[in-house]
Amino acid sequence: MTEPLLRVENLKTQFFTETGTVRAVDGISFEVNEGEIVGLVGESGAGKSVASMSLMRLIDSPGEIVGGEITYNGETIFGLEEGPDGELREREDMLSPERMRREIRGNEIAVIFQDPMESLNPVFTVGGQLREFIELNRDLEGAAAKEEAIEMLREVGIPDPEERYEEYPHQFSGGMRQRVLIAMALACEPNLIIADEPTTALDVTVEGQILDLVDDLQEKYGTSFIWVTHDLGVVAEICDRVNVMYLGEIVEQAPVDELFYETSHPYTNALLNSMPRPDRTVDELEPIEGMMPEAINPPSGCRFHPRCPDAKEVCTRVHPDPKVVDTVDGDPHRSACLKRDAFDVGYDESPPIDAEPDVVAAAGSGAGGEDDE
Amino acid sequence: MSDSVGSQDAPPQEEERIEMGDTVLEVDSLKKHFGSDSGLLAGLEFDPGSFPPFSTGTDQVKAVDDVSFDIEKGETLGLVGESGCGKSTLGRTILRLLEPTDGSIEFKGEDLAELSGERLRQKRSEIQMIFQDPQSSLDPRMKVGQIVEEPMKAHGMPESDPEVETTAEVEATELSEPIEVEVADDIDMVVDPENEVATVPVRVTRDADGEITASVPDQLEADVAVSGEGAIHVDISVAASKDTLRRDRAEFLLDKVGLDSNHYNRYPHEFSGGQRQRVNLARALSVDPDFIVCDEPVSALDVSIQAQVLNTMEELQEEFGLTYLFIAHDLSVIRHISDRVAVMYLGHIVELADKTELFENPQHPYTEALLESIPVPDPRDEGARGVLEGEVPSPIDPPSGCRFRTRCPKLIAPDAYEFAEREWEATRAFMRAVKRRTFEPAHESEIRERFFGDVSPRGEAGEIVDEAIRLVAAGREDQDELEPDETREAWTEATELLLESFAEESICAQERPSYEFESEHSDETHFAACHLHR
Repeated sequence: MTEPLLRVENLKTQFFTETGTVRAVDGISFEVNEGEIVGLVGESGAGKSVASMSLMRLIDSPGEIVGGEITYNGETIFGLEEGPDGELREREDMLSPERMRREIRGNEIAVIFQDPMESLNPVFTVGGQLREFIELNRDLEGAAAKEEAIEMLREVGIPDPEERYEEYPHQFSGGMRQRVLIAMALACEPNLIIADEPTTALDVTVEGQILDLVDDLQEKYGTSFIWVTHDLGVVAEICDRVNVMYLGEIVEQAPVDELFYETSHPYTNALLNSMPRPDRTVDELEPIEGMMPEAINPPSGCRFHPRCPDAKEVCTRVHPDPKVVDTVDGDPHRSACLKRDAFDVGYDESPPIDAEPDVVAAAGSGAGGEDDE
Repeated sequence: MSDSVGSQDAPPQEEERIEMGDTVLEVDSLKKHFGSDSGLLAGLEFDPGSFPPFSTGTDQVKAVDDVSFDIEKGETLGLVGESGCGKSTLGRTILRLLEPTDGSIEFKGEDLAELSGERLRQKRSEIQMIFQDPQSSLDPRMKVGQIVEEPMKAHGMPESDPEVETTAEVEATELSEPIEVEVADDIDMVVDPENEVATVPVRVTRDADGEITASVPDQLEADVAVSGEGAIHVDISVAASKDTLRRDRAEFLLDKVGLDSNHYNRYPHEFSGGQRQRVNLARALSVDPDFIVCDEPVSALDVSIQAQVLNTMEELQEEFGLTYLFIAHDLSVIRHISDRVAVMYLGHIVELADKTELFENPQHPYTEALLESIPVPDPRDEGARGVLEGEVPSPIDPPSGCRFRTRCPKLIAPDAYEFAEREWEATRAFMRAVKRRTFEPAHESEIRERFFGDVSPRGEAGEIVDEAIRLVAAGREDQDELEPDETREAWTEATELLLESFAEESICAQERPSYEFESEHSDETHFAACHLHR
């Protein structure tokens, strides 16, 4: 297999807040190959968005990428080395902020955000914004850029593009705005598009249209996608390979069919069992007990153990890093669960934890413990 | 609340008792229109061609337009549709949070649309609502306990019902003396009445010292007096103040909805989204309602939390005999929680059927399209995604007849022409492409090839199609180069020609469909507003 388009190794992004260090992304590794759609799935607070923004080096203070390596097409987007006095410093081959801005963002890697209204400027016409973007990033000027912009609008299925070119974002519906953002992302023919929950705010019928559009465009341009979502339905529909995140870590990584049919991690399994299904009637949903703990003070050992139905004593002590549990057509299936044979830490002999997981009554976010009154 | 079986002892009452399975809410031809403009002079329109040169007609947004359905006690009716179809407006109009424009809302035999003032306010204790955003529906400066108690205070609860009789059930052990019990009138605030009679269980015993004591449930107190003749007299009254009673009920409800009763003194910001939605549930339940409108109650929650809240809602429904109108855009959630499902499109209900029937045997093309477009969490699911064209039209000027016809993949061919099936399909696709201008002007033959391939409509229909193709084709014979304005005019002309000749002539445009037939998967009738069932 050839070198992947994007390689992320042991990426760590932290936020330094008054109350402590939030380890939003804590050592994740994954790859994106050319022409594939890679899913990044998890509940809110799992670190999906921080992870995808880290790839663009778009993390602002108090956040910082503190470790790991991101390589894109041979270029180092982020990398650290040990300085002479043992301190970590940025490697020399790491792209400068200037080159990041000029060469990578937009041109090589583009982003589509969840809320299209916030990504478009309400006081400029849709066409004007698209034309400006094309002028800045490609060697096209004036009329040629406008023509290209109209062409892109038509390409993403906006009816009557000449007319709509002159309209303002508020005159577009949610689905149409999302199409404009897709047009913008595609305008510079990037190799990789990071789509951060792009269909979450849309109606199902519109979501269907957008997913179809992405399918078509991907076939036509061969663009790779990182698709950030919480919806396993969307994942099943369009992703080739999937990374499941929980509390800043990737707990399972597998080709899509494998993930749904040979589910290895109890968290993935619990997610699948807790969803109501559109295709059949489920009598009783099995919710995941409790809720996601704060990333500021994650549980010891396996981070999922307080909510895991299969947790044993060993899970509270040993921290599992994802290990290959199976290989399908050359693609590894990695899982970070001590149950698997790849981990030889004595799971079977370990005594079970008796304490019931702290159910919904646990203290809410931001609040202290149970007895703060 | 109680299951009354043959209530011949009960005094006559104004309201009829609603049994499980009886119709609790009946909505008939309900309409809610909004004026699309606001402001002092917004209603005035200037028209110099007439006298006086002003007219006062405004455009009306027909958010809910002639909707009828009923709900039985204890069931969940799911209401589903895309954003902007009028689901939330319908929910709010039923609660009279919005004034209905027309129609009736019969709730337990009384028309809510007719009620006003104090009577309506009182009625509101029986119908409650849960909103989508658990954050903004809770006052951040009030403690959770206060939030839950607020509706009880507003309705003066707990309140004794003068219709309810009070009595006691005495259990005396090793006592030979006659026992006389007097029960205060207001104990039905504490003891749930059954068949309009609140019965207090009392245990009268003699303790080790020879004292006679009576024990009653919490919140009540019993005074025992022994008269000279040895008869025992027990006087039962409510011990706790109304404040205490409310607090007890709030704590009880917090516990019921899966929170902890010691969360009573916390503020909303101390809770997560799922927990806040539970607080909303407790608040809605505090006034002991029969009917709750749930407007997208779980859409803001993560899947795993969503499942917890849905399960709690189902448990509460069972325990308190609640009836839900469950509004959601997520068909998976609707499938999970509903007993029957109504599908809304642009202010109309287009299909209404039992849940299994609707999902397994959808009869309206819109429902089919909705079902097909949900991404199924199964990578091996091969079901083709039927993508719906276009967008929901404006509710100011909705399409005539069937409102879905402008997007319907099964629009019926007009009877005036003789279309073969494939000819009509091609013509329909061409008509919509012209209307939405989804293709670039091309040469006549290219257009023909692209939309019609080897079929060509005959007769009058064929002539109309030819004319339309000629209008939109590039490089027309009569002019070498058209100005953009003229091109635009030509497209508009072609669009009008096609729509007037075909779309407007279809039965779908001329009559509003409404058909009922037998279900395949249940005993209920299946309603579908589609002329394919004519």
